[in-house]
Amino acid sequence: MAALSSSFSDTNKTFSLGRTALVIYAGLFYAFLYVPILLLVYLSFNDSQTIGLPFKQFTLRWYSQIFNSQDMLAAIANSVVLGILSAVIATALAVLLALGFRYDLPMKGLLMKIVLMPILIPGVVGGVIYLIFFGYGEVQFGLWTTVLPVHITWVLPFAFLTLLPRMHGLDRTLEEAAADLGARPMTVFRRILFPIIKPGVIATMMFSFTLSFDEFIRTLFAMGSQRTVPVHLWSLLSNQMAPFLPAVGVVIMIISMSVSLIGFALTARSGRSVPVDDH
Amino acid sequence: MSEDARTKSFMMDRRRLLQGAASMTATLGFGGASKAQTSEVTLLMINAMVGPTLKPIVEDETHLKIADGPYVSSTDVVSRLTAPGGARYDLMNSSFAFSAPVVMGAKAGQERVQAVDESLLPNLKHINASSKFGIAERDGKIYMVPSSWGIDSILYNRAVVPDDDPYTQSWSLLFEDKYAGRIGWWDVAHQMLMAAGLYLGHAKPEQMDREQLGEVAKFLIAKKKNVRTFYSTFAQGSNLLSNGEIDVCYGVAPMRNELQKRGFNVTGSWPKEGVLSLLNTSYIPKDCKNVAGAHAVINAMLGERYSRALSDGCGYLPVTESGMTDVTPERHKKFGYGILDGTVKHYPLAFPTNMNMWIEAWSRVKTA
Repeated sequence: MAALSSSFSDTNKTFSLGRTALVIYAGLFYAFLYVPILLLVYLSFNDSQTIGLPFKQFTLRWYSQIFNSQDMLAAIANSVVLGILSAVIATALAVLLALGFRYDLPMKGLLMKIVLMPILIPGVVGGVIYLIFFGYGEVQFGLWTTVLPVHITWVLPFAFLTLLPRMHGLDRTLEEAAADLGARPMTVFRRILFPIIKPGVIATMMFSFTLSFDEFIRTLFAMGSQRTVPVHLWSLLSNQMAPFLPAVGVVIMIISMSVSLIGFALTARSGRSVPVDDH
Repeated sequence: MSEDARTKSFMMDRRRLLQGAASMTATLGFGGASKAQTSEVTLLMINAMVGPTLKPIVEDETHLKIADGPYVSSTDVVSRLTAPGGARYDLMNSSFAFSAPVVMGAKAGQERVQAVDESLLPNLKHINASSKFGIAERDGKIYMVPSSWGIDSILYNRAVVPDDDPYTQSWSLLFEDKYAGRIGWWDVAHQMLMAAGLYLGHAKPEQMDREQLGEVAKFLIAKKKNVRTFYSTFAQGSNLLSNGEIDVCYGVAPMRNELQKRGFNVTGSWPKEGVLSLLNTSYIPKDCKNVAGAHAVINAMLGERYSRALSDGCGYLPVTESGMTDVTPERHKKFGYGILDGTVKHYPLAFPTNMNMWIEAWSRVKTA
């Protein structure tokens, strides 16, 4: 009896040690992920000409500098609009692609590789390709003539990879049943298919927006004089000390988080309104 | 008209179709774009040269809006000039020694830019003697026009490094052991190998052969132990120096200027082996959409207002006589005007005979 009790106590200790180690590990993991972000926010309010500690004095001047800079505001606006357009167009194309990939297509494997190629090509190489391609086409470099196609090309494979598993998991009998009842293909898509895939589509658009917003190297090769946020930031870093950099980082984070929150809200609404189980 | 001719006249080739589609897309919803183009000049040059205090001068004198693209390097500028389809900028600017061979081509007729109209550049006559070599001329036509001088040397923290130490006024400050662990190197093959070559006594570092370059690389690898960090951007280098993480680093004039403006006790040394200098020159690509505007900008940058504001604006030196007048001894020393009158030793950042070899050598230094 005593031996049993001792064994039980040892097991408890081991369990407790294991649990403590897990808590410590999780704590370190989250700290590694989030402490730099919190530090960035902290430094964005630091009234210092250098980026770093110690914290001298609280200030809002770096935020004021950002919002008083026409160039910075223009870059943010360019990136947001570009991100939205890239996300919408790429997601629409990805939906069509994913729908098509449910069927047996000739050279399906090769087609998949072609769609995914932009991911495999290094950014610098991709940028040079676009520079040469648009050059031979004598296309004027600009946000909507060259940068937008570049962003769509970059984002499309990711959007496709996000949507493809979702499409593959759909129950085709629902579509067949709707068709049997006289629904036309467009009606089947609109009334049956799209409500089911809507959360996935919204998530894909959010992801696509983030990818487009952060895109730098390909944009650098394909852009004209109008700038996106990453390019503008990089240009600032190349020409000045940029003590306002943490504040810019916070503003960008807020934009990304806002997009995510809007996406989550829309996804939650879609989830509540879809009556049909998809399995 | 024959049927063939009629068919041909209606056929659109791929290029025209792309151009038409692109133009339509570009103007869709942007009705004022074409009108705006004539009042705007797009340029690609070191952004500091059209920084916050300098751009307004140029815009005021030209009555044009300046849209400056993100400058990467002289290599990038020249690459864009030579890329298929043209440069897509109205005005470009890069280091003369580095760019001239490519911009001018090997012989007449191979120039990649258009000749300037001297009648639109009345300020051309004000270029000072030291800068005249930057006027690239061929068969009586001018293709490249100087705009500013840049200086690369060693930046240091004056609280730690004394000004009047002979060690300070030499490239040894950047390479040798005295400030070991407090040194930052700029992660750029061309400048670092040129500086090291100059320090090691090569009369023409840009002409170092493979063996000589190998010796320089060996030297740098041996001295790498003194380096606290490599930095790749202006902001990174400035931040390292200003927060005390390093006390010495390779630095460009705009970095020194910015740090001093923000109140940091930092200055640049004048190495006895010579600072590295570069003469920036402007040129007009053949596909320039606003030729008159490009000329106006070049002329404004040769004007008195711009020349006088240049050093305070970005740390660079003017190429005009008016920029050199009424310079106090303090400013003369601070900004290095001695390069213009021969009292400061300098060596031009010339294009290496084999840049691939240099990049390879620098990669060996970094990975050692």
